[in-house]
Amino acid sequence: MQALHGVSLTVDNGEMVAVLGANGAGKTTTLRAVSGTVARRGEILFEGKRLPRSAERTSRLGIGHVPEGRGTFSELTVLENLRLGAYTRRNGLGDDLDRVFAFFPWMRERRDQSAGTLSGGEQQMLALARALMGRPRLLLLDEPSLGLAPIVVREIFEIVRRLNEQEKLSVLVVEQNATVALESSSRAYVLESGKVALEGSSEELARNEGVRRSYLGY
Amino acid sequence: MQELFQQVVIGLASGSIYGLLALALVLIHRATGVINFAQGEMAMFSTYIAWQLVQWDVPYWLAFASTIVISFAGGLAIQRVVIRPVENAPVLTIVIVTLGLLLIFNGLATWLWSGEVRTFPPNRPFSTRTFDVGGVVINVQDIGIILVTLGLVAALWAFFQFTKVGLALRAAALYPDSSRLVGIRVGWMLGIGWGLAAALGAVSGMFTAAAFPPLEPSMMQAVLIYAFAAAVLGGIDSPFGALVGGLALGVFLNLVGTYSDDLQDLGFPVDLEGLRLPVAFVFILGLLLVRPQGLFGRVAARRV
Repeated sequence: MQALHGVSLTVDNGEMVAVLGANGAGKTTTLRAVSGTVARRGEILFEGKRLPRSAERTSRLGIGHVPEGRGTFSELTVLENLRLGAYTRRNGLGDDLDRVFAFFPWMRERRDQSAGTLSGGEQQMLALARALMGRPRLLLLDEPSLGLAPIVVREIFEIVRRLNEQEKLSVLVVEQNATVALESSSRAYVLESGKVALEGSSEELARNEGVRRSYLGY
Repeated sequence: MQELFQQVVIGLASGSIYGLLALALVLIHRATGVINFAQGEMAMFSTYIAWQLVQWDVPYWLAFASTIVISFAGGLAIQRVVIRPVENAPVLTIVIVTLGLLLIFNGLATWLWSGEVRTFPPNRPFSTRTFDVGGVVINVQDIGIILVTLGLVAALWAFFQFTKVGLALRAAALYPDSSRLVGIRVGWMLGIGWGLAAALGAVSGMFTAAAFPPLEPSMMQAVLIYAFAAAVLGGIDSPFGALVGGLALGVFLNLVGTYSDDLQDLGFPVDLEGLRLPVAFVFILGLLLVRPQGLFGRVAARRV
């Protein structure tokens, strides 16, 4: 079944862009089209080159996808999850682990814990850390807030914002939680039934009456 | 008491053979969710390759090692060429394909090497000597088979636990989608899994020919049934369980055979010696009624 119809969007280098929309609007499919985990037509360019239609090769090009549901390797340990994140890289594992542990200090002590026993928020952080281990230049985040307490959501978005601002990591984040998504992004798209219904700067969209009523709830 | 120890050692040796083939079944089951019914015939075919090499004057242990390598390549090729096209087909389709492979390997072996009964190796791979440990007479071949098996399993465990490819193999088998996202070539990992299974099967086949001669095209059929029982006993997804299941089954079968006369003397109505297989299955069935996931298996939980 075709879920998207002529969606066109851009993420500039070092930019954080949000995609909003109701359930079934095509948010997850948008990310999966980029990472090559779903069949697609049309063209997606990354740093000027066409992206392959295979997830394995796409991830090798520097695109990290934190999937819906986190995709935790739950029977493996925290450290093994992180090692798998760096699978395509040959060296620098130690440096990357230090970098990730600096963002998530709890992971250092609990690296031998089985990942399936982590809380939902911890698993979300682990999924993010796993993607960072691949040293991506574009990070795709699928509903990082799903099922998490507001304070954990803040913490995760704070880290993503730091990565975006300090390390100039480009981020494309899909969210139902429009408030937090619009706060941390600079631009946003609103998807409706597989089409882009609205686009603009996040500030602008936060003031838009339709967006406010449908997604911000006031 | 000494006889008991002696029979336990003999049972552990045949149990190693079942355990190796059970491990092969588990590796493929974990990766594809399917029982490879051709595993026994692939092992038999590998054994014929070893036999052929020895016929060409390759020393036995060199032929042994070469056969492992050839079988690995063969298993990988089978996955890439035969299994990959049906990868996303229903499980039943893949099962039928493995049944087809079973027939192909059986026919191919008979055609290439004739169904003639052979002795392999012509000289025993291990010395036929026995040694005596406090009155317990132990066969060098039995000890050799047990040690090689344990060594192989330890090496395999270390490979899965400590190497990057081993980690990727575990990840790809259980979480193919997440694995693709981190750049693991899942298809190739499944191929390597088949290669490893074929290599383990080859060892099991070569030991079968040595311990339970002769070498003939149907020699692995009973072993496959034992291996399947061992894998189910240990928990079909547990490599450790497969080995333990194999060893336990080997010892159990051997003891039943050894003591059936004594049991009859004590008034047991039937001779169990000839009924070893049914007795083992009744035992396993009973265990599975209590522990459906096997000794070391995970409880299958499905979220609805």
